[in-house]
Amino acid sequence: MKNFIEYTDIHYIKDITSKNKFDAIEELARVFEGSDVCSDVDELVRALKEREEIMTTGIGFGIAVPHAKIRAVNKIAFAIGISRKGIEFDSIDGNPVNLIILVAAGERQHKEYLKLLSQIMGLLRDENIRKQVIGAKKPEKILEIMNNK
Amino acid sequence: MKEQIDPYLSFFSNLRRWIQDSYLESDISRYVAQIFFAMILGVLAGLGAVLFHFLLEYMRVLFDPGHQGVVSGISRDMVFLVPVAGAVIIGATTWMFPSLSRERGVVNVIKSLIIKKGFIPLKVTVFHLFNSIITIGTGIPLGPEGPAAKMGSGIGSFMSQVFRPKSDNMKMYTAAGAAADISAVFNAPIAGVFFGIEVILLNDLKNEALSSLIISSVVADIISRAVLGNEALFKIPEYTFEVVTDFPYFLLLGIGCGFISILFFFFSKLIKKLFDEKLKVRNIYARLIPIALVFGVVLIKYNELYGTGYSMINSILNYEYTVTTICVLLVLKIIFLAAFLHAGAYGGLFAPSLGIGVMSGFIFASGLNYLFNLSLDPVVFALVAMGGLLAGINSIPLTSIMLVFELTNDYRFILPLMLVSIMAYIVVVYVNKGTIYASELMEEGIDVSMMGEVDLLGQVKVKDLMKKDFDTVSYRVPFQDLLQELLRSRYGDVNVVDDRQRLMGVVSLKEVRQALINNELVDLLIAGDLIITVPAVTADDQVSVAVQKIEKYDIENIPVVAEDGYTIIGMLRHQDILQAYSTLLEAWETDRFLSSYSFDRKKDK
Repeated sequence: MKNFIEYTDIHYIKDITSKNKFDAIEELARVFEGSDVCSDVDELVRALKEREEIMTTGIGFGIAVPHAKIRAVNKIAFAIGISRKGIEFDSIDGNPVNLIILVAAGERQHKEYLKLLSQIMGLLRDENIRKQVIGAKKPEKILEIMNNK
Repeated sequence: MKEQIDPYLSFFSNLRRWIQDSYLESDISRYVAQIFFAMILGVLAGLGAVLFHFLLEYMRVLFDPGHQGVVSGISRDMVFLVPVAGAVIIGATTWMFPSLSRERGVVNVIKSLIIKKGFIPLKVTVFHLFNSIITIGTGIPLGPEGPAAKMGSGIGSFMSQVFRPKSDNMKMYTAAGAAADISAVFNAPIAGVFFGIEVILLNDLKNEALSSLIISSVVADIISRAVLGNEALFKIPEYTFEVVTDFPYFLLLGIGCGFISILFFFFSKLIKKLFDEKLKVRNIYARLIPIALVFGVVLIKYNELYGTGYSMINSILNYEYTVTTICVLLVLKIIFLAAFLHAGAYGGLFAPSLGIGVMSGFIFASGLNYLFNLSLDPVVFALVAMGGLLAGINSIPLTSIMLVFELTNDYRFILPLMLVSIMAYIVVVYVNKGTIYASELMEEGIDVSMMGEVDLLGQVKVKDLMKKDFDTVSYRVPFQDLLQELLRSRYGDVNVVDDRQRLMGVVSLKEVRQALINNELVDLLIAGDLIITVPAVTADDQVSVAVQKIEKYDIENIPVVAEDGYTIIGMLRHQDILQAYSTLLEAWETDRFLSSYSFDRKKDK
């Protein structure tokens, strides 16, 4: 498996302006438009929202990891969304979310999908990393922080 | 498929049932019964071959212009009327029985094995036997082996319709009957067995009975030899050759035989196109009689072309013709062979192939001797080219080698015979992209390319092995609850369904291992995140289909769904498939020398 940082790109990092979690998920998922990650971003947005309705992906500590595994995704990838103000996400600890890591995987990429989710969760367990990522001014800096971990 | 039984069999059905109930249920009884049946089949096929021989010989004595006894009242100049008379008779029978006439040639015997379990109605056998005797007996230059194989397979099929110990044995007896009659007609038991395997069974011996092929071939040939004698068909003069120094010429001859075979196919297609597309002649008389008339006129000058052509082969081998005459005979033979086959005459290609081979080999050696001042023995090249053309035109290298070897009773030229036969075969298969029988079957929508594979699990349906108790969870179930379900599950995995209880996929313990490593994932995931989408199987699918899917998706068990494709009705477990396979394999190993294996039979025990 690749280094997990290789699953993202500078173009998949975005400052989120939306106020609620579903809009935020859609806003972040749209970074894949025009890329080779997903052939149908509308379908991805629909799947992410549907999944979010079943059970929140806000895992606490200001983090959410919305994810979906659908046929329209050609290449497993993740996007990073930063919300300085914080978004209400029905998180486990009730706190607003500042960092959204959105994972999109193909239907047959099951093992890679779980592995990537696991790596992301492992990284974000470190409070210092979380603070550095949320506080970073530029996408390049976020990638650098994640890469140095 | 509804079982097909010849309508004439009402008397025999009770007899068959009594024999089956009384004697044929145990394994040892089946072995003994099949040996016994193979011997009876050999006797009947042998007697059939003897009858066939006498009828052909009688007609030859009556009409052959090269023979002393031309039928009284017809002068030798009027001999052209003989094939015309033959054409009129076979035209009439073809016109009267169009459906029977379509069941033509060896390829239809193969077809009956593939799609009708070897069922050949008796009337088809009788029809083709009669028409072949008329065809060859009135001089039309086709061979007796096609009709002989058809007669033998018809006898085998009829026997198994009468005495069916198990339904799949019909295939075995049909193939064994064909082998037996080839054995008897040519006095060539080994070639008969190879013919059965290579031509009729298309090399798929795994499910069939070698023992029956051999026994029936041996018995049929014993009958034939007892009545007709042991004399070899061809009288071969003394010859000399050096395997090593002549090797390059044999190699060249093999390739040449391949190309002459291709030339025959070319003529064949050309004439077919002429009849079907250019002239658009559908009427059997309009197709046959003009050709028979022209052939009859040619016979006045070249009476060597009459019938099977065995006397011509003997004459060539004994230097009775000039090379120029042989060249003319070769061209005429190829043209008339292709023309009569497509015009609607009844007969085979083996004997004509032998004739074309002898002529080609003789011309080849004589030509090289003349051009390069060599001293190749034309007799040797004529003999090995018999095998080459037989292998090339009929795509049967092993049968060709054995047939020529047995026809000549001479082992000395076996090495060049093998080389030339296989070279000709390779050239033809390379150029034609397959064998003649495979091509003809493909034209009728039958693909024989997969026949060699043993598909034991293809004989078992999913419903025979599936478990009807299974575990399902909703895709909304959180990971913690899913884990509990998995730990309690019967088979180590659970089926995940949507809100309408439709199957979405499966989750197995193996798949959640990754999630368990990282504690944070436990709060993030639901069952829907962990499913593997698997294309389910239906109860009526073959287990082999399920195995392919299990391998492709690397899963242990596969869900079974109803006809709607979504509603889950059971689970098919990997371990049950393995168990069934082991049982099937054991039974197949025991039965493959006897007959096709039936899963139902094993289950019944």
